[in-house]
Amino acid sequence: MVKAVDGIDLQLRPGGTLGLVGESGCGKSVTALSILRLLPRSGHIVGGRILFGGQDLAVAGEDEMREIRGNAISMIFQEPMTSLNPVFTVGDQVAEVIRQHLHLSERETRSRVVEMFELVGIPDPAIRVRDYPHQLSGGMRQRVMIAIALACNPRVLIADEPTTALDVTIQAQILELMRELQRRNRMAIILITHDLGVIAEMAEEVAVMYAGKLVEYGTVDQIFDTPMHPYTQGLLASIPSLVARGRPLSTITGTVPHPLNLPPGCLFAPRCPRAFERCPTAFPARMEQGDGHDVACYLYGDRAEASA
Amino acid sequence: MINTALEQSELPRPAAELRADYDLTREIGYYQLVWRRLLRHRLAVIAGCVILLLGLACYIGPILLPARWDEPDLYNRYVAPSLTHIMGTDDLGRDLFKRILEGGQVSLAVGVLAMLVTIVLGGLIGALAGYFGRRLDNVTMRFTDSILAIPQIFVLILIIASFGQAGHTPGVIILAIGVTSWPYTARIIRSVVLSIREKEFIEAARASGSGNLKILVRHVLPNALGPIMVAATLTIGFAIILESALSFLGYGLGPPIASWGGMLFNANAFIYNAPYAPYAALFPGLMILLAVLCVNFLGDGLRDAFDPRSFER
Repeated sequence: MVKAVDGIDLQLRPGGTLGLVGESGCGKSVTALSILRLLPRSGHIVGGRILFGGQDLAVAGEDEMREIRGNAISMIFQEPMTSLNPVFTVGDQVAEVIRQHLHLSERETRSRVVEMFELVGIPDPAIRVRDYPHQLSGGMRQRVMIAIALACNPRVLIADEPTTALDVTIQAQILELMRELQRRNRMAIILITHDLGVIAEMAEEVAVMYAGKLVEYGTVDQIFDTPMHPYTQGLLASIPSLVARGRPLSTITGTVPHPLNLPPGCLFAPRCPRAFERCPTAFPARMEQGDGHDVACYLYGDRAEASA
Repeated sequence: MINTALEQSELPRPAAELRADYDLTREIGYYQLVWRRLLRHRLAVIAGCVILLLGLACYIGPILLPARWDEPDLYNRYVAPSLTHIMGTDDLGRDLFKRILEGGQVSLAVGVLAMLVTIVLGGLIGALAGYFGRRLDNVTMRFTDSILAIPQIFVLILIIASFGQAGHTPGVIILAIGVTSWPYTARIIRSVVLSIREKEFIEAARASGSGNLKILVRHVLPNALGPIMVAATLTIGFAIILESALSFLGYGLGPPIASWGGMLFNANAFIYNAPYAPYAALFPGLMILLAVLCVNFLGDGLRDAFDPRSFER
């Protein structure tokens, strides 16, 4: 058995935005899919709880989950080009989720669809609802995906790399749109990305993940101003700077370990510039460093994680 | 200018009522688009028209032609094609043209009905195997493999023979062709469903709360229609040929029912032997060729028409 994600302790406040950062393959998406219980067939949740308004989603029945998906918790995917069904109009696809959860009359459903199109900033909403996905640009399709995700006024929106496939100007528009809609509905957002710029702009709290583990957690200011974990420091150092010219870009050497072949102790130790003899012994516990800034690193205290 | 779009969304919605006038369900122009694309496929349109004409001729033609042409006329056996008998007469002196039209009723009906049996069986098995995968997929596909490993014509003969005299009726032949042909269709549909299942819009549908049945019917099926259409048309052609082959082997529909394959079988003896009537084999053969070719052309056009990626912007 491979543990793709292990010991992720996170909290999300109503109206808050939590950023989930890490390299490719560090378990960000698996974490998100677990919340909606949409893991692929090969994966399952072996332990832990996912509390949502007093209900534990980790053990909820499939029917209960279907009631929650797209309704109380919805999700936006990375690929707007392929996340829409090519054989139905985009309006019809927004209507589908409304029919599934809200039980409005056909007429109310239709005006709700146009309303949603208007809300996500699609021009000529009453005309665009009749378009097929292939007739819309990537940015417009992502707006449709957001319209689908928001049609039932969810309390939580999980956005898995929502802007990765879009060009930068569209990216900024989409992020601005998400923020605007969040303010309006007091919706909480889990934003998954490897783009630290997006995190800095959007998130209030940030969780840094490495190889399926949470290594650092704090407010966006804490993470960006005083990063503690060497991995976080490495990530921030590898952002190209406009000020420091003429120096090669800093990188983190090596790659994320394969989940089947994890190093002993701290998973980051083999790539860590500040590793010492304690690191390969056991995975460090998450230690509070004041003001809710947590880090799992022996540089800040010698406490190992209780072995499972 | 990032905020332009948002400012628009900030607008009140004074015309919300007015906008509710459009009809989502009526606006589903997908099938309209498919139809338009099909009409642009010239070969498919011609093939479709030929099939339509052929069907009409087979079902209406015999009513209009003289009834005595069905009666044996031993003074006029093996008459070569002429103005009276444009396709000549057969070994019993019956008019071949009228018989070909009557045989067409049987051959076309067998083709279409056997296709329906095949598509329903194969489609269901293929879709379930492809969608649910795992053990169901393994079991059904290995079963399919083992059926594919047995020559179909022998199984067909076995089934038909097991019915005795009743085996030579259209119902038995249709069912026999249907239950032996589904593995091919199941294979095609399974692989199509397998690839659609992995598409992101399926995951997106799941994330918005759709269940398996809804995903299968609403998202998988419409996207699989193109390949299903191709499989269906190919199966019609295939079933017509199978029925002909069965008749040719003497396991098809018994006399006096005419079918193209049966007529080929009757004419077979006199292609190279006296009284030399190759036309008696030529015409039914041509009809089989024409019908099978046309349904395949039509299938080709349908596949292109149903491919959503081929819609122009």
